[in-house]
Amino acid sequence: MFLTKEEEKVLNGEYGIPRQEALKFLIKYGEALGAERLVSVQSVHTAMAVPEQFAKMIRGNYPLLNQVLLCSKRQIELGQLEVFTTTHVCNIEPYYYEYFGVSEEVMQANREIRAHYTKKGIIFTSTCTPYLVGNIPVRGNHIAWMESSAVVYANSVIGALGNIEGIESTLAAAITGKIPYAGFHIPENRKAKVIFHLDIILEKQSDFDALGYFIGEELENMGMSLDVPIITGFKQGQATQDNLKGMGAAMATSGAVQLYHIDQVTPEARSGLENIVEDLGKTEKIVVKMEDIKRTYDILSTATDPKVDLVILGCPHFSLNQLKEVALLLEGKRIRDDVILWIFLPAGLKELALARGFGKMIEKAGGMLMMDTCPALMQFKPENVKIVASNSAKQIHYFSAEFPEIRTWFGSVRDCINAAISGKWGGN
Amino acid sequence: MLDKNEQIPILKGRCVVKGVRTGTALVLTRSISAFGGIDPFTSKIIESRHPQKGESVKRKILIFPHGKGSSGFSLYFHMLRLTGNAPRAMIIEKINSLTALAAVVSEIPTIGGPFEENKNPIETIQTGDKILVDATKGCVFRLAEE
Repeated sequence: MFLTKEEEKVLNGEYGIPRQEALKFLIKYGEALGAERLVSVQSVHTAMAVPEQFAKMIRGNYPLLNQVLLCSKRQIELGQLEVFTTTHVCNIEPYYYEYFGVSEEVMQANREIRAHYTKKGIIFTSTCTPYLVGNIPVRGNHIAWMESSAVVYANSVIGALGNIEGIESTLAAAITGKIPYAGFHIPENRKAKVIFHLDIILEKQSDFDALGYFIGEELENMGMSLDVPIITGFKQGQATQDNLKGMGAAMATSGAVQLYHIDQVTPEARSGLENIVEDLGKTEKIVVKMEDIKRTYDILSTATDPKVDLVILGCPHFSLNQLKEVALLLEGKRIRDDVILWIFLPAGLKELALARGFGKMIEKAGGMLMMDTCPALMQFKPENVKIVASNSAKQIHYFSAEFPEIRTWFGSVRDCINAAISGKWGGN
Repeated sequence: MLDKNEQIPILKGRCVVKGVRTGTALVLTRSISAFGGIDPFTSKIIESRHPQKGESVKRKILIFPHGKGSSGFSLYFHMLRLTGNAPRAMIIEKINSLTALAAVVSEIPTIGGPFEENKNPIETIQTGDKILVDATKGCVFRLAEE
């Protein structure tokens, strides 16, 4: 791999052990990817939360944790990190941890991890949606982010350049400010290779989740799963943050999509199909029909009994606008005693929502606002919960994998809130 | 076991992580997510609606089209290594950032595409086949039945 003079100095240890070991790791990773060089990143989204089994093993020994993550032979005591680095969700909710069956010991280990890495310069946003709380790249920035839904959003909607990274590569990027120049960092790899044409009118936000889930699965079926899709016929006014947040998350769940374009909408697709589609004349075009969307709702709705026990919202983490919608739907209403409503959102938005009213409206109606985490990651399900409703294709996909015995209903935020109030699914 | 030098490789691809291993093939006919797809404590495939759901990846030569899904992919392979449940080697049709990183952190000898003569590992190898993976050279050999 080609290294700059500066990178060679790092590799020779002139800037200390952490940067040396992190660079060694990135070179191994870059070679595995077939990268010819590294590139500087302007934004990192890492995860500094480790599974319980890990947490107990490394309790308090952060140099060992860094060593394990960077596959090094030496313990690594970090200095201050200079790159803008935020964190992904962790497996612990700081206020409701006892409810989720997390011991005080594990909670304390987690607090200590946070305190330690905060001092090193990592900002604990603890969210899957860093772009909702301040880590918003500029178009053309190279990024090293975890979280498939966040990467697909940053690549597609913002026009930042990155691949889906893991905990190990983002830690190395936070230390060195570098990542292998491969995949979607390279402009030529960002051209669309397949067209999905919308010949239908979508209405609800969950329709866009269903569309994303359909596209991801269809690409798998076509053997084009790593290729970039472009959507045509998409109404400009429907390209909202919430619709695109859910759609991209679903695409990266049923499929391996890391970047998509929307003709005339997303930043790299505004100058005509011929400029963004690799070989327009030979490109396959799939027409998306209403039956494709309906079939996706059916795949994600495995329940037959309309009784709902648990409603999960906030995958990816809820936005302020979605929170407002729920608060207004719940105004003057109350969630049934035998139904649980979980809403997951970033810490910053929970604080804001509680300070400015919408949060309190939801809590007053019996909803639980939870931050920093995600049910799929906590791997927790309240006893007696058999039927789960959600507006998120991604949440249903992962929750069903962890708890195969549950049955699901998939529908809009309104359908989900109605179910939380009445205890019965009456949506799609 | 045959002398591999006398054999012609059934597949030739690109070295992702070096190493030589023999073992029994487990072919996944669909892509997989590691998080929510493979349980690192039982080594079993748990992904909803996956055709090989229930199979164990432990000490197999794992062959699959590509990685997808959550960015926890590498951490779950890292955990498979720490629990002793990792595959012995991997052959991956198309490498992306998820699988390249997973192979590096789990130190599993891995070969990735594209393969010579446009061969597809999913079609060339079947579950249960005894094979030798020379990831360093990017070559896969079939072992004779005992």
